[in-house]
Amino acid sequence: MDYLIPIAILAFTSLMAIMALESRSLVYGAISLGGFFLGLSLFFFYLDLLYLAIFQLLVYVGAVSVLILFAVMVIGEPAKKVPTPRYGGLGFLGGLLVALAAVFIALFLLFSFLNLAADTLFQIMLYVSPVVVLLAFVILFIGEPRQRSGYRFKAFGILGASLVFAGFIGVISYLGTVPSYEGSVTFNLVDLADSLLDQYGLLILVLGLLLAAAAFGAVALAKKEEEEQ
Amino acid sequence: MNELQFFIAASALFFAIGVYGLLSKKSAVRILFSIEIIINAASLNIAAFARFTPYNLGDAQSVTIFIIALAAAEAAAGLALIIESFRLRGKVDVDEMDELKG
Repeated sequence: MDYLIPIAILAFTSLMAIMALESRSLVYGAISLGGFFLGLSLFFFYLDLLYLAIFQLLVYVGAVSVLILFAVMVIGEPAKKVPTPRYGGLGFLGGLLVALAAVFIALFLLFSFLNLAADTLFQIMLYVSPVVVLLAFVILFIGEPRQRSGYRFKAFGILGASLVFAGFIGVISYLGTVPSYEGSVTFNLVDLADSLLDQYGLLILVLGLLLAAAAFGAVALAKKEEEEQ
Repeated sequence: MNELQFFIAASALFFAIGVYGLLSKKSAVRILFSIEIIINAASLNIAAFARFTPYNLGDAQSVTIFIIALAAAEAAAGLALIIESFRLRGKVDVDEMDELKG
């Protein structure tokens, strides 16, 4: 398998996802989210799922990201500017350390459950990581000034995300025995039409009703109530 | 690592990025972004399993289309809620939405 194209798409898509969450301006965040949707549709193109890729392009890149952009422009930018805490950089470093250590520990637990071989480098990581965790928690929770800063939340988020990711990676390494069907797949629109209109026909109707209800609800929520004024 | 595992790892990465945003962000708009990222990770996972297993591709694409439609409905309703909340408070900080707290 030639990994070059999917890795390039993966890099683009994950960069866009991180920028959507971390960019200063909400408008740039919304645009980056559109880029993330675009990257996902490139993935679908790569997987030969043409109809899905075009659907993703139309619905997400075309409709949802424009809707989000519009709402973000209505809301505008948050006015507050939080002063940078004194130990801000240290706090972020602490969060990263916690995340690394959590990944190491989760991987080790998983490998030992699965009776897989842990090589020397891995054991060194295991012995180093408790020290790293201790250091990181000291930096995060004692070294920070009293004022509430976003770094603690950020560290908490990185910790949770890395635990989730480590869990998934563990499951994938366990799945290593599952063969991947590498043969060519012919895309057949008739299959899709059969499945959508015959097998899941009722579901399509229910989904249409749900969409209509969501649209009505959104209009009712966002409608300006002029009677009260 | 075979091709199926690569795509599951990619969707796990997107899922983890979404979880990070859910845990660390305070703005309701960013939380909505995170939810969208998580839903897209799920649909990529289903698409990868559909492509790399020798079964009918039509069913898996139908399921993914359902996910996309549901996510579009969710985005519309969520954005309406956010705009309503912004109209009431003037900001969209989820820490300050505590009117339902007993």
